[in-house]
Amino acid sequence: MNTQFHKGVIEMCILSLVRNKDRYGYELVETISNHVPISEGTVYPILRRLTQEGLVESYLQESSEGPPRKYYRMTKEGRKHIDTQIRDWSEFVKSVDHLLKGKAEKDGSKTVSL
Amino acid sequence: MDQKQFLSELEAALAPLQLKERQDILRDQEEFFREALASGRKLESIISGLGDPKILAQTLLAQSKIEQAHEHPSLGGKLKLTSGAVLAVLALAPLNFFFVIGPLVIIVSLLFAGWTTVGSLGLVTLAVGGSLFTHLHMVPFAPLGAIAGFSGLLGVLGIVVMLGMLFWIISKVCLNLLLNYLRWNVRVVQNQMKGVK
Repeated sequence: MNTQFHKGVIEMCILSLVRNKDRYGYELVETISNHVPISEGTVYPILRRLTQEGLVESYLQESSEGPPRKYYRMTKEGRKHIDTQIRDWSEFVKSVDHLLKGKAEKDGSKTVSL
Repeated sequence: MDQKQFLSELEAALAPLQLKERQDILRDQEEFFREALASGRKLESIISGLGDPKILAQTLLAQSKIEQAHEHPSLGGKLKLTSGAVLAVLALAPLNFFFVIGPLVIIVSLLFAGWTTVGSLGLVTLAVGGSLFTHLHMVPFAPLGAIAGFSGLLGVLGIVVMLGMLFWIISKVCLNLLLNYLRWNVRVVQNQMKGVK
């Protein structure tokens, strides 16, 4: 797959995974890279920035397998942010899909504003 | 390279950060290694997945500096931290200079123009006051004329001080705008660097 597509998508993947339930760092990397080819080194800086910007927050939790894990949890602000992003994204994908399938000419009313 | 080497290179490259933040990052990376090894992966694959520890550190440094500058309350401190953040962002990618220079020049010239205006207005007012003081004997209707002159100047000086205060706030807003641009820049550069291989 073209790497150009990955730009900016990782952040959205992280947020939507954390939105569903609290996750720890490696779990996020593993889950995302199972679906999207990413460089693992990218995830941590994004996670840290999202924490600094207050979209997610972290806490340490004892794990059965050894030392505590750092879990990430969604904040109210983060939830608002990702909900808007997911809505925009699915509208965008729908419109592009429409266009790629050659239906755009028949139905010119659908436009995407970026 | 093994895990210890990766972590010590990362730690060395993060030296400009405060101890607490540096320790936090290293703790997170150790956890990452632990989890990845526990999931049955080979050390080489983990390290090659993470990439160069220096590049990781550069991104983390730039992000941390931007956030610190954003949160700093005083103008002087903000200015100092912002210049540090600009340098850190420039170090991220060789061609990033061309993307940062535009916004940087605009903000710096705005700040420069504003402060020169406020400064020269203040100087002129003080100079007029000074010459009035030394030429007191030439002022008509003394002492009333002198009192009127000085109170007029005092009023002008007040306006200049107010302008200065206003511009103080404007300067902070300008720096925050620049920092927001840097945030965005780091986001784009970061994804590009790792994406294009």
